[in-house]
Amino acid sequence: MSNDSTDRATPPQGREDEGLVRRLKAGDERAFEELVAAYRERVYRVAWRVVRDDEIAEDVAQEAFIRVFRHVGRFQERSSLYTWIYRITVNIALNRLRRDRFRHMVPMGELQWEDRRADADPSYAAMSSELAGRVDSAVRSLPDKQRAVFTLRFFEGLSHKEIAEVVGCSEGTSKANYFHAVRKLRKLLGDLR
Amino acid sequence: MRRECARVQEMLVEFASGGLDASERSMIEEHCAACAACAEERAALERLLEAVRDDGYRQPSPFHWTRFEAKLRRRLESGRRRGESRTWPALIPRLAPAAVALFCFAVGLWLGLRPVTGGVEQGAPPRAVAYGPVGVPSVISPESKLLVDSGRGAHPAYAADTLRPSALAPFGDPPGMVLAASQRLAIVGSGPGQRSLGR
Repeated sequence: MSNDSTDRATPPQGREDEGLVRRLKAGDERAFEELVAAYRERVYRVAWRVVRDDEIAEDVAQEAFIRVFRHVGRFQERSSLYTWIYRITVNIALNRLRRDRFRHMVPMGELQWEDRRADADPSYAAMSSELAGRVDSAVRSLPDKQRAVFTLRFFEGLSHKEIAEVVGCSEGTSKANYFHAVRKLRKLLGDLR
Repeated sequence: MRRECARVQEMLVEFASGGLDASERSMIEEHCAACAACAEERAALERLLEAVRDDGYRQPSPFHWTRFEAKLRRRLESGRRRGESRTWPALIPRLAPAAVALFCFAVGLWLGLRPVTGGVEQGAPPRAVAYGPVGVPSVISPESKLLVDSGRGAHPAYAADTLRPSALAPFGDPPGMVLAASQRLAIVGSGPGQRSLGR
């Protein structure tokens, strides 16, 4: 079973974040440590679900925090802090996929993710079931943007309005992407019982 | 499929994902209670999404986060050092050799490309003249025969077709005058200045 239910769909909001942003803008390094502690799991999880690779996800998450640290002065607080951080993360992850695909010229679905992961973590190979493998392949086969929208909606519990902010599209586009993602998964995994 | 079923099935994806407002959810509940096809579709979607929830993601261990934060600190620190080393006072020692090299390159380029006029000055008698088809100084055209004197006797004429007529346009009306030295042609025209053209 996936064990990611700890803080799904409960992004911190409100005053707590406002105070954090104020301190970050003032250059308070302690505030940055708090931010990393509060968001590292979510940032890594979203990155992983978009790129579906441990190493790349870690790299994306690191890059996202570095950008947050460097550009927090530009954050205008028109959106909430967590949608801004998600936005940075998703952008980096999608760019990374595009870059890697261009470099390797192979579809993302064919990158050697399963073997590397199983090699690095033998317990994963033991836990991995045929079902998880099928789900993984099906999720990988979604177009990048659909996968990002699906991740944010289904796993992170964001509303379509928030997803639209994160991905930079309209609410309608987010709904359509999510609908098509689920339909495609249904087509690929329709025989699951 | 009835029209209502079509509408419900469009909404089922959001329904199964926990979306929609209370009235929409209860409408779907009621519809599915009375419609076997929609109820089956709803159950299938719910099964699917339940299965997809385990998509292979594993929560990293606490050790992973310790490593992650240490790595992040290192990256930020090295970024900061790089940032500091990009300030002007820090850059001067590094940029000095590049500046010297650039200066030498610019001087070399200027020496190499400056027009070679063989000492001809504005108003001085020309030492070479382009003769047109009628044998008098005229506008240089691809048909012009060029007699060239570089100061060390008469050169063989250069092929006129190596000169692009458009390149000669700035020099205006006749006479167009051509001087040569080495591999370069220097043209002194009736226009405001001089210009060199590669062969």
